[in-house]
Amino acid sequence: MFKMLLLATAVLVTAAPARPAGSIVGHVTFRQGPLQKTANRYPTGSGGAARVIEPIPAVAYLVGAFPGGDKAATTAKPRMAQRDTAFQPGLLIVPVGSTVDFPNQDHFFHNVFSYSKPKRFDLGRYPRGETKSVRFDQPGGVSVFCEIHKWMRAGIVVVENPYHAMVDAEGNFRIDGVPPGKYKLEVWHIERGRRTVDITVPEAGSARVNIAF
Amino acid sequence: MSTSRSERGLTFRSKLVLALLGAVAAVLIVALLAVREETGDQITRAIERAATGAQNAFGDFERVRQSQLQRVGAQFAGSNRVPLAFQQALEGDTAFLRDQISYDLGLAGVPSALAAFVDPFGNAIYAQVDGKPLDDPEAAVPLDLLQKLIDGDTAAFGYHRIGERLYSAHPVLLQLVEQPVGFLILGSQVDAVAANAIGQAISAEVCFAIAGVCLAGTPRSFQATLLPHMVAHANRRGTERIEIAGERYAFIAEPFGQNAAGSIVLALPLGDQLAAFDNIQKTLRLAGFAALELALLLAILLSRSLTRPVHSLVAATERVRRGEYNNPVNVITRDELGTLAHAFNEMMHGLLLKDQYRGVLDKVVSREIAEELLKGEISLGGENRLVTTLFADIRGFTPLTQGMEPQRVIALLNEVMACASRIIEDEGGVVDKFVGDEVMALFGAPMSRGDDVFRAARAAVRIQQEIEHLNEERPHDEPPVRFGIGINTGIAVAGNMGSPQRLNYTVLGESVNLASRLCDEAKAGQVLISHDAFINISDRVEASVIGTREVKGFAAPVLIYELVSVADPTVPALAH
Repeated sequence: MFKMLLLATAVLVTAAPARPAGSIVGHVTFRQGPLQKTANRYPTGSGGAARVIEPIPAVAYLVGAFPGGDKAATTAKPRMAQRDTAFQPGLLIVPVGSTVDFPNQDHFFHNVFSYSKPKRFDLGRYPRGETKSVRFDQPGGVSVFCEIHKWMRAGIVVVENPYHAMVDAEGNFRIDGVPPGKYKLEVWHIERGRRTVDITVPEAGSARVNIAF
Repeated sequence: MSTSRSERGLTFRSKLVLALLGAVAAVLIVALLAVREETGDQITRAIERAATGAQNAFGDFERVRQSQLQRVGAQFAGSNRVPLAFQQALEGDTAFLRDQISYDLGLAGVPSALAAFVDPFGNAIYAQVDGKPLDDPEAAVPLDLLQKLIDGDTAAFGYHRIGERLYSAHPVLLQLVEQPVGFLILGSQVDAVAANAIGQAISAEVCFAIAGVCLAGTPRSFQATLLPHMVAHANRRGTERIEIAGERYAFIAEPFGQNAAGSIVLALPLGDQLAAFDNIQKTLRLAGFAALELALLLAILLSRSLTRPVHSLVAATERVRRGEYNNPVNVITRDELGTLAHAFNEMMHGLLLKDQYRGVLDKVVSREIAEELLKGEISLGGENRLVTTLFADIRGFTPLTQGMEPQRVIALLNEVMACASRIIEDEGGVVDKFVGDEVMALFGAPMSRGDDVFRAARAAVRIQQEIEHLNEERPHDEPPVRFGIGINTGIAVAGNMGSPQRLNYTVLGESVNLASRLCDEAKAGQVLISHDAFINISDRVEASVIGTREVKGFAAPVLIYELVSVADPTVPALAH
């Protein structure tokens, strides 16, 4: 699944032109919250081993639309399937205005809804083979859930520009080829919400940033 | 000896009345006390029943409410919509949370419930009751309950007061894909519905009070007459009985909530409990009054039936005391009193007989002897004593009465003898017997008067004179009656002689015989006395010696005197 995530983003990243640019190198720290994560309570339907919930990485991205923002991504038709009682892929980064398809590939009903402010929707319940679509026309992170299978969740980050990166398991991220200038950098995590920092990208070299949740 | 009523104390009737009334009153009092005690026990039991009933009813009610809250809580925690909406509120969009939770509460059937959201750090994010947001959400958060949940008690319940409202609260952990995102406190108001449920279960007015404020209650408990008492009793333990507007209540406060922070105050109407006992008491009082009256009536009737014979017995006793023996008591009862009356009548009959005997005795012996006999002071067994004997005999009685009617003979004899008897008795003598026309009298027997011989002499003189008077008064065609009298004094045997059936007190002996002989010797109107007699009274009489005479039965000649007079101015001398 992680491989698919990388595939989905690679399409956008490789589209950047070769101009004078700097990099953003960041580190994200997730401090332990006051409440501990509870045990896995979601058994599989067959009564076998407990279901393992795949973690969803955080996404760092620059806020705002600016020239040089690539249109190539719009050609792709992003989709987020419901398969094996999971959203696949678990994380989708799409440009503003994208329409995402949500096909149900399981043998049972699913529901797709989101309460996130950039896009609140509820597709209701629908059976296998049916596909419903949502157009995302506001930037920001959107948490997608299935009402029926409450462990099913996915993140859709709606971006206005091509400058974004996934935070790796160690909390590091890097965004290259950013035109020099002042930006707002936002990091969004499906569970921890978002943090926004101001950042200045130099002509050459990299801007370093530490963000704590 | 008259005994007055005060000395005797109460009359029999009073005692009977008092005893009967006392017994009835005692039974009545005991019964009333028993009823009162039973009433007290009944009320104590009713109060205990109400207290446990209230706790049970409240417990039942709360269990239903709590299970409802738990169900809703589990539903919310199990869904990801509420946690997601909560996340939106964390990001500043509380309006979205409000819409979502109001929708979900409505869907769960508890639209008015308390819902308070707390972030993982314990900050109240949003709270609402009755679908309206609270200005101060912090006030809606019972931190002690949250702590219980964090400590692992997923079924924690507690009471929480928000302003003037009391809530039964239940904390729920909000999670999103296994990640705790905050807390939701659900609460249902402990309201009039709860109070009514308890009130209906135990038939009492109920209110929930905390810190002296009645937060919820049955409609009537908020009435001006009841509310102050309920509030006043909220902090008291134990029961209190107060009458309010004609209705009797027992006030009971049962603790509830953590650390007994609140009280379920019960106003238990005792009317139903007491009504039955009131009726019993009323009936008992009426019955008691009737029983008292009946007892009084019975006592009067019974005492009358008892005292009437007693009164008639008393009256009879009075009659007996006066000497009336011929009026028997008329008591017809067959009880002890009847027996007593019968015995009394027999006694009276005996007394009557005795009285009649006494009368006869008085007639046959002199009154003195009769009295002495009755006193029992005279020994009649027989003794030698000095006796003066007087014999008086009518001279020539047989020729005197020839040709006279027998009735006339007896009348004459009786007249003469009565005269003689009277004089003899007058002089202290005793008429011993009448023998035909002769009377025998004793002086000094059965008792002596000291001057018996002189008395006999004076009696003899007086007899002669009285008879002479009688002769003058009698018709002149009838010949005069005259006595010949003889007196002697000497030792004689005195005593009761005869058979046991018929005794006669008399004297026997030579001296008596001599007196009889002297009588025989005496001529009409003459009184002859013996020498012994004369010696005895020689200084007080005048007598002339007649001389010695041969007397039949006596060996030696007897010296005889003729009495002429006695030394008494009232008694003239005998004429010759």
